[in-house]
Amino acid sequence: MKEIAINRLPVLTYRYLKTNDTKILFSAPQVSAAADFSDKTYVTVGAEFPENFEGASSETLAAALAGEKYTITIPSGMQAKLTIEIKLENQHADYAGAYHFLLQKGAKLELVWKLSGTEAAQGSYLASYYELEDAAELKISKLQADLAEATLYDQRFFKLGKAAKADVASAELGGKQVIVHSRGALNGDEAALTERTVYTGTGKQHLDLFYHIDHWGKKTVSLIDGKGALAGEAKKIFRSTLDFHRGCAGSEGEEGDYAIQLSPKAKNISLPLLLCTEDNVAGNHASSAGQVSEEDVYYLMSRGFSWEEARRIIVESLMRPIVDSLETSLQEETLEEIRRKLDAKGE
Amino acid sequence: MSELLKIENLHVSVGDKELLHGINLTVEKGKVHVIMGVNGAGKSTLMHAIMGNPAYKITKGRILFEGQDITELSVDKRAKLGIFLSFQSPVAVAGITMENFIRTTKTTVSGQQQKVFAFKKLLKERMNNLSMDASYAERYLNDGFSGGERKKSEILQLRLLEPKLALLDETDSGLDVDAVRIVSKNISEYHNENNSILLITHLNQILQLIKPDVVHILIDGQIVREGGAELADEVEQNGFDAYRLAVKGDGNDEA
Amino acid sequence: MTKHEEKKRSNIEDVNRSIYDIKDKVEYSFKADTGLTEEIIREISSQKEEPEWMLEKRLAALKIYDKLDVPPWMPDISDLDMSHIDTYVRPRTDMKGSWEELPENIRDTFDRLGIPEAEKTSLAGVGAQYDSEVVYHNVHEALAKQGVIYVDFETAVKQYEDLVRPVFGTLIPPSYHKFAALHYAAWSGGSFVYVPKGVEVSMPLQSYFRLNAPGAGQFEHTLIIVDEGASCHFIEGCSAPKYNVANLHAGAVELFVRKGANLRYSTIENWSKNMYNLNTKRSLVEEDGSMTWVSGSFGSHVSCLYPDTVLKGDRSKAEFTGITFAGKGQYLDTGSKIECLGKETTATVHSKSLSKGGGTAIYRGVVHIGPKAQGAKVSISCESLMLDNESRSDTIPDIIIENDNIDLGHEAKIGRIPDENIYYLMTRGLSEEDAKAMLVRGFAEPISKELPLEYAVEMNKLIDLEFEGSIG
Repeated sequence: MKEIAINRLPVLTYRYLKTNDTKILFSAPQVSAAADFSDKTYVTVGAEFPENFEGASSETLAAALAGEKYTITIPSGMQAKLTIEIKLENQHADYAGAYHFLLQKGAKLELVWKLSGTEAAQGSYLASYYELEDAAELKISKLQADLAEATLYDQRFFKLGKAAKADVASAELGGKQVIVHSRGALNGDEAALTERTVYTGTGKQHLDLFYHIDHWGKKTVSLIDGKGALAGEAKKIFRSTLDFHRGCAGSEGEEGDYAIQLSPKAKNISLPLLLCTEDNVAGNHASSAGQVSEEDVYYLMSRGFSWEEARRIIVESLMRPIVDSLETSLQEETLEEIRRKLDAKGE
Repeated sequence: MSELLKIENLHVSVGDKELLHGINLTVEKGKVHVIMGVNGAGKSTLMHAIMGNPAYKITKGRILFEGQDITELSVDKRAKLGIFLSFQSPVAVAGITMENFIRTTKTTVSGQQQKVFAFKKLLKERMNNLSMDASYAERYLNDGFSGGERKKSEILQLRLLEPKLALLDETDSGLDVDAVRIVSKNISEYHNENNSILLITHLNQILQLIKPDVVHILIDGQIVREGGAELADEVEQNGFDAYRLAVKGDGNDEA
Repeated sequence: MTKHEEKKRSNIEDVNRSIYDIKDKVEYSFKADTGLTEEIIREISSQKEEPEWMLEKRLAALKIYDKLDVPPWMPDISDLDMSHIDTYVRPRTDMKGSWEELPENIRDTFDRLGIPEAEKTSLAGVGAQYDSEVVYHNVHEALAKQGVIYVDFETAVKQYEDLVRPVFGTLIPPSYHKFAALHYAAWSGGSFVYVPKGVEVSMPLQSYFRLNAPGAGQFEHTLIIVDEGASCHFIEGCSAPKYNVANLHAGAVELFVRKGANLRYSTIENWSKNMYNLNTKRSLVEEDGSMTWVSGSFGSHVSCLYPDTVLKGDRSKAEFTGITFAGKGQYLDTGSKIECLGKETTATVHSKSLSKGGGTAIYRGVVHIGPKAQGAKVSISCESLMLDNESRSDTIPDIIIENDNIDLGHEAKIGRIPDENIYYLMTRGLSEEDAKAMLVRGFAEPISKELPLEYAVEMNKLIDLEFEGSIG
């Protein structure tokens, strides 16, 4: 175990707040599980990664790169569906893996990530590089749940060509420490990247979410949207950055972070950065935090719901749009898991 | 020369899409013209093309104002020549009071410094005519105004700037019955033998109050019928479908 | 000794600065060695004939200064070589109670800036600092009779030790950051205001800071105590002529707003574009107290300024309204800090920035809602306008929430003036430049209306000039 710094902000701010990065105890993966593919048509072993893939930190990226390596190539014009499932159990308490997804021109991929396991699970170290050529389309749905004692690293890097579109919806429900590091480069004109996440922090969960999208091409579009609830002594840090580089004329980006605080001991930190060197853009940020609105609760209670039920409905309605954008097979499971976690009185 | 505005074979595109396919239209001094047509026919496009909105590209044809070719003229220069557009959805400008704004534009358009107190008095009078509360003069231009209040703010500007050509883009939409009457009355008061009105409307109420001299029917980017005031009544009864067929029959002939 | 410069500049960009840029002949009665050493600090202290406790504070701060590093997030200040900053430049005059008694060149400077005129018409008291020392101080007799104290800081240290000593350096400790430590080691000049319980000072008090000597530092200390139920409006104005060598301003402003008191602190900063403005301001607000900041940052080469409000008392309030206009060669890193500690505290932040001609405007903010601040309400809005394609505009907020009974909203927007707004104004006959200038004035209006009239007029002139300069 050694202390490392992860998810460092692209531009730093005051040090005394200790929010520029997060210090965590890191241990390298031991016995690794194997990932399960629903379909191996396009899968080959081995993978190349670009230099500028930084990951949450050099240590965590190296850990992922030391594990399984796969390249998934979807040929030009093809459409594919793929589910990758990782289960962590007693004998296989860790997982390490690095994936290169190459979507050639006009290719389409619907990708589902499922990560689950028992309390025996220790850690998951993932790195995935998504390379989308012109007009390629990628839809990712991710669900991770349970894994009560595990540290989960998910490091993503997107490179988008002209008119390429990547749409990520993830449900970060399990894990003890959840570290997401997503970086996107909108290189081609009219490329679009959407990163949407729902989370439920309960008990002593720590969520460390990092999103950074670079607008390089003209008329590129980005969206970063985080919605969640924090109960118990959970702690969430949301670092998001939209960077409009000179020349990305006509681009639009939006980032938002909305957290409902369900417990007086939950800690909620948000650093939504907007960086801009191009005038012809529209960059927006909105974040809010608070309790569920008394008025909404009152309305629902007047329709016969109990206070707890009313609160749960409100929290659910906040998350619902993101849950609905998950692949259909994950939706029901995600909702059930959210309900279970919020009902468990982790407060 | 009694021709105030003359449009010759006007083709207008937004992006790659051509919205107007060869419009010919002449407005004479002292006349009221009405353009009717379904949504998306190109009515607002025509208004913006006359005003010179840079988002609307003129690919062919020309626009003459008092005999001068204004096709290449910038928006502000057209305004100074005496063209005024009442927007369908006027923009809100936070931070600038309505009074300040109108005084500045009046100074710019007329080329004459406006005396603060004389202008204040005139503004108050005109606002009163429009049943606008005097407090609106101190509010930011159109900021937080309802749809109807914004329309009144447009007509207030019309009255104070006194242009030669008033382009009124659905000035009556979003207004209640009383407001249509008030706005129409103000437009009538503005109108005289030296200025002209080009009006877009869906409704007949305003036409009962402002009698049109010429009615044009615009369908799919072309003017398919022209006539007198009676044409508006015909449309009221029959709808636009009959004229739509006429377009198809004619094909896409260019003048 | 630096050569006396008298060149007048006349290109468009500098027109609006002409009154500020007239330089006076540099004359000193005493000038310390360049750089910062214990010897210099002792020299400063003995020149001021100040009490021993203050010298001890200075020396302790110097030790901290030597220990601390420059924060890594700060703008590049490598051109600022502390060993070349003349930390202390004493003008050749003692403090006066009337403008007529001042040497002609100094009096002319303040005349040109309109300070004596404003004093006659709209101010309750005026302090004027020239380089390191306050040269003029006066407060209306009626206020003095009510017990209002408004004096230069040296006088305060000697005459009002009982009021000053217990709080001096407690709100902004020397360890706050490196430049705060520098400030406490080298401070000179500034103002002290004390408004006794229940006294309402209806007209504003104004301090004007003028830095004339090239390569100099100004480290004034401002300390204001508004006692229970009292209220006060303080205006601070800053300017300096342009020299080719870097100047440094590292002031500190400590504001104490006691129970139920109100303080409004307005700042217009128009330092010349060779100035490093590394200023620190902090306010402590007690129960039911209210703190209002109005802050306009237009000048300087590099600025770091983040007024910090500590809402310690229950139901205390903060409001921050700020505008930053970064033009060519400017790197203005400004923002605000809000710390909610008490129950039901509320804070509103409105920040606007403009960047143009390659300038950089950064909003850097903090909202910290502590575990005990139940019922806190905070609302922040940041709008950044990019006026061209060469400039930079960043928004870097940090929001930390440690309890559940809160209501926080934060909005930020970056972009340019919408084309449809320019078009709309042009349909009313305004040229593109006039339309843009009008829209920018409109953008700044919610802030300029909070400023004293003469500053608002000045700001609008500045905006118009920026646009005239851009034609062709």
